[in-house]
Amino acid sequence: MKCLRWMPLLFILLTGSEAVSGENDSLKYENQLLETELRIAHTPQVYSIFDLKNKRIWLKARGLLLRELNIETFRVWGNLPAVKAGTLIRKSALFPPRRVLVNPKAGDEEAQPSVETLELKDMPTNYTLVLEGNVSISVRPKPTRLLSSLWSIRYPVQWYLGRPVLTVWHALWRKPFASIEIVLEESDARSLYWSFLEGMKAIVFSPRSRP
Amino acid sequence: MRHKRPILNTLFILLAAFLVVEATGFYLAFRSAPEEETVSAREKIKSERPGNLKARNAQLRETLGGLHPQGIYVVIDTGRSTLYLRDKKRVISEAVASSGSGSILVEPNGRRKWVFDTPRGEFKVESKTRHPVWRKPDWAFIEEGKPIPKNVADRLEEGAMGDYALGFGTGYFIHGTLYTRLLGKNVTHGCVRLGDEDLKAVYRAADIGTKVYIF
Repeated sequence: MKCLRWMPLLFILLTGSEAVSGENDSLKYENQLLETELRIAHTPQVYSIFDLKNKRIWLKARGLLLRELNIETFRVWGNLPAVKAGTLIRKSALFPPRRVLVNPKAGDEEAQPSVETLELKDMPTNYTLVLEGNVSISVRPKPTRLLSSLWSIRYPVQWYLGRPVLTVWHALWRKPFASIEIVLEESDARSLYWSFLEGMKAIVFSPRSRP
Repeated sequence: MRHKRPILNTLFILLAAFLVVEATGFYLAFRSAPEEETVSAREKIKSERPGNLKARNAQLRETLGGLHPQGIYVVIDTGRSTLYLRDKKRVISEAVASSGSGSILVEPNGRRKWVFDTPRGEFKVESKTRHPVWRKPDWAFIEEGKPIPKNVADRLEEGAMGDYALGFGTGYFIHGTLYTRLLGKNVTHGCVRLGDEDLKAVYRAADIGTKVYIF
């Protein structure tokens, strides 16, 4: 019966230490993110931070926020570290935008400004960004109509059937593999494709990605 | 019925193999610790006091803030064709702009190629000119199907760049335009075009050394 008296105290101690550990983890992840960002911000290039905790994508330079995009939903496959930095190696889309080839005018033609150009509206909304270290970020548009909602059912099917196969494939080659699927508003998905260029740095911040 | 059995068996084996691969994939994906988080790192953090971490993070945030530009700076969102004049987080003014068309020009003999993109990243205003005269580069003549002049004087064109020009890199300028109806469209060869009044405001606000961020 005597031990029962100590039970509340024990409970307080245990839950208290859990809270301290949680706070410590949060501070630790923030510290990792800041350290990583500081390294990248010393260079004069634009970089992006995929903050999955706060469901935001930030385009930054020198630590300065240039543009913020909202993530509607996301899911993470694989064991990503809380802070993962990498260079964008490749952007792939089924219908990537095509650059216009300018035809030099004949000498007697009057020069007119070209209006066949690449605009934001020409950017795809459904594409994959591959970061170094085999981290792929699949960007999907938020379905806006009934038909697109129905069509988007294929994404979870692809996700749960395709990702395990890719994981095994990469494991056979002893390579790490992690994947993130992000759903954005259509205009934001286009903006990200436009602004995030190959060779740029990215930080993926996913402190809660562990199962 | 006899013919169907081997097919069913094969299908069953394939399905079983696929399920094994799927299960292995799930197991491999979530089994191991993240590559960059070692046991020693975790132990080190456990021993770190929250107060110390808070102080360290505050210091890091301050260092990061120290990289921000001092005073007025220019931000150009090429996707939304907008130029912002900003001071810290405050937007002083915004203007409709035009930037690089992204198109490609190849010299008829195939020797040289130009991609008309506006460069991205951090730059600074390196020069400021009133009533700039455009010294047309080779591509301007090739695009117009004209011979490239040998004399520099034949390359000069007045009025094409508007009333002011701010140079921010090797051959790139923020300048005016004769084609104001095309403002907001990405039609340039890499420079950033503004309307007359907006250009005047930027010219007045941005000194030499003013940071320019393009994305």
